[in-house]
Amino acid sequence: MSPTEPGTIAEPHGEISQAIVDQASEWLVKLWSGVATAADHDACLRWRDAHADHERAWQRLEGAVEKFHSVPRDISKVALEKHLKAPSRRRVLKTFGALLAGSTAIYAGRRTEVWQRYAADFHTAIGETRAVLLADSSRIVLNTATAIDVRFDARERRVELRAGEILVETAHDAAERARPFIVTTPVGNIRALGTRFTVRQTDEGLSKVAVFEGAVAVEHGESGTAVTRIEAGRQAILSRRGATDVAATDESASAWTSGSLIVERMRLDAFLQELNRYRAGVVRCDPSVAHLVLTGVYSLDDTDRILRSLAKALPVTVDYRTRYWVVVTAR
Amino acid sequence: MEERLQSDRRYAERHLSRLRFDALAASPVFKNASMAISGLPREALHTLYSDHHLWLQSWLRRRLGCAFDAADLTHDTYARLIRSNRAPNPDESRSWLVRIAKGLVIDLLRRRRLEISYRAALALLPEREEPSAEEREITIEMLIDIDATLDRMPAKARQAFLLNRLERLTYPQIAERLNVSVASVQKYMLAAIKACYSAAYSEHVAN
Repeated sequence: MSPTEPGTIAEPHGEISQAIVDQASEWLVKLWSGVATAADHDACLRWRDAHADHERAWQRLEGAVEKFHSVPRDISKVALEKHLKAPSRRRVLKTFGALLAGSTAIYAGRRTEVWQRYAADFHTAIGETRAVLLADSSRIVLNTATAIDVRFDARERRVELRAGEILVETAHDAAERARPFIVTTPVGNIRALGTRFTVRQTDEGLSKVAVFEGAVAVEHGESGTAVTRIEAGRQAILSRRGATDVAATDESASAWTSGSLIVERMRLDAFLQELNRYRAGVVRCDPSVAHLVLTGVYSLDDTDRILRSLAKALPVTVDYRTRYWVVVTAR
Repeated sequence: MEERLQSDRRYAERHLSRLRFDALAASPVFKNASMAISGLPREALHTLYSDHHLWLQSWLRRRLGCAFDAADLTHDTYARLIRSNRAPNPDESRSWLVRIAKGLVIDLLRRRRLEISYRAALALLPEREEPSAEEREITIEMLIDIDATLDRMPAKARQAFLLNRLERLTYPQIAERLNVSVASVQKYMLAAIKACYSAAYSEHVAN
C-alpha cells in the first residue's frame, strides 16, 4: 500500500498501516489516563489532522471501543462479573477482600437473596470467601454467598447476618466499658462470651451455631429473654422456639475458612446440597443414589473437580445438562 | 432378520437425512449461498450433510447435553460452512465441521451466561425503567461483544482496562491498586486497546 499524500482522499475501505493504528492506540492510552491535560487533547487533535489515515485510524479505533461505553456501567459491572472476579478464593481470603467486591449470584431462584447480599455492608459472591477486620479488631470471615451489616455504637457491637455463613473471632473491646458483641439472625441473637464461633443461615430459615472457643449465649423468644448457653465443641440449631439438636462439633466445621470442605460419612444428597452453596446454578441428586456416603477433604477452589472425583469414588454418573445444571445419577 | 432391520434403519436414516437436507436447502441462506458458490456444488454439500450431520449432532449433544441445542447448532454449523464459501477436502470434513461447531458452542454458552447475568443485573438495579424487549436484545448483543473482546485481552491488561473503563480510576490509582508502575499500566492499556481493535476488525475464523 502506498502512503497517501496529505489532503488527498483516502480509499474508504483501504487498509490502514499497522504503525498508524498503533499510534492512534497510543494517543487513546494517553487521553484515557484520567490525568491528561488540555495540551494532550490538542496534540492528539493535531495528530489526527496531520493525515487522512490518522483520522480514519482514530475513527475506527473509537468504533472498536464504543461498545464499552454503550452499556450503562452499573449493568456492565454486574453482568461482566466473571471478568471482575479475583482469580482464586484462597488468594481473596489472604488479601482481605476482593479487588472489586463481587456482586451477584446468577440465577433467578435466589434473586431476593442476591439483592440482600448486594445491599449489605459486606458481601461475597458464590464461591468467594472474604475476611473482614472490624473497628474493634474482631475478625469476621464471610463464606460463599454471604451478607452482613455491621452496627457498632456506644452500647454494643452488633453484626446482622442477612444471608450465608460467617466465622466470628471476637476481640476484647478496648472501649471504656466493654460493649457486648452480638450476631443477630431472624430467629434469635447470639451473644459472644469471648469466643470463636460460626453462624449460618440455612435454606429452611433456621440458624446453625457452632462454637470452637469460649461460649455463646443464644437469646430467643418474644422478648429475647429465654437464654441458652452453648459451650465450645458444641453446635445447635436455632429456631424461633429456641436452640435444639445440641450436638458435638469440631474444627472441621470451620474448614471452609481455609478453602476446604471436610466431611465424614456424609450422605451424598447432603454433600451435594453443601457443594451447591459454592457454585452458581443447581446440583441435583437422584434419589436412588442419595443414601451413598462419603468421607474426605475437598478443596473448594474447583467444585467441578470435586464433582468429577465423585464419579471415581462412587457408582455414580455426573451429568452436565448445562454448565449451571448438574445431575448426579446412578451409573 | 437382523440384517434386514439394519438395512431398513439405514434406509430410514438416509431418507430422514434427505428430508432434513431439503429443509436446510430451502432456507434462504442456503439458496443464496449455493447459487453463489462455485467451489461448493449442491451435490458435494449434500454428501457433506448426509455423511456427517448425525455424527456432528451427537458430538454436539455430548458437548451441550441437550438434543434441541445440538440440532440447532448442527443446522447453524452447515449454514456457516455454506456462508464461508469454502469447501473442505473430503478427508478433512469432520475436523472442519468440528472447528466451526466449537466456535458456535462457545458463542451459545457465552450468550446463555450473559442473558442470565444481564437479568440478574436488572433485578439488582431496580431504579430504572424496564427496558423493552428490543433494548434488552441490543444490550445482550453488546455484552456478548464486550465479553468476547475481554476474553482476547491478557489478564493484567483486562484488569487495568476494566478498572479504567468501569471504575473510572486514573492510571496512577490503578498502578497503586495493582501494585505496579504507571508505565506498566500504560503498557496494559495499550495491549487492551489493541485487543479491542483486532476484535472489531480482524477476520474471524470460519466467519
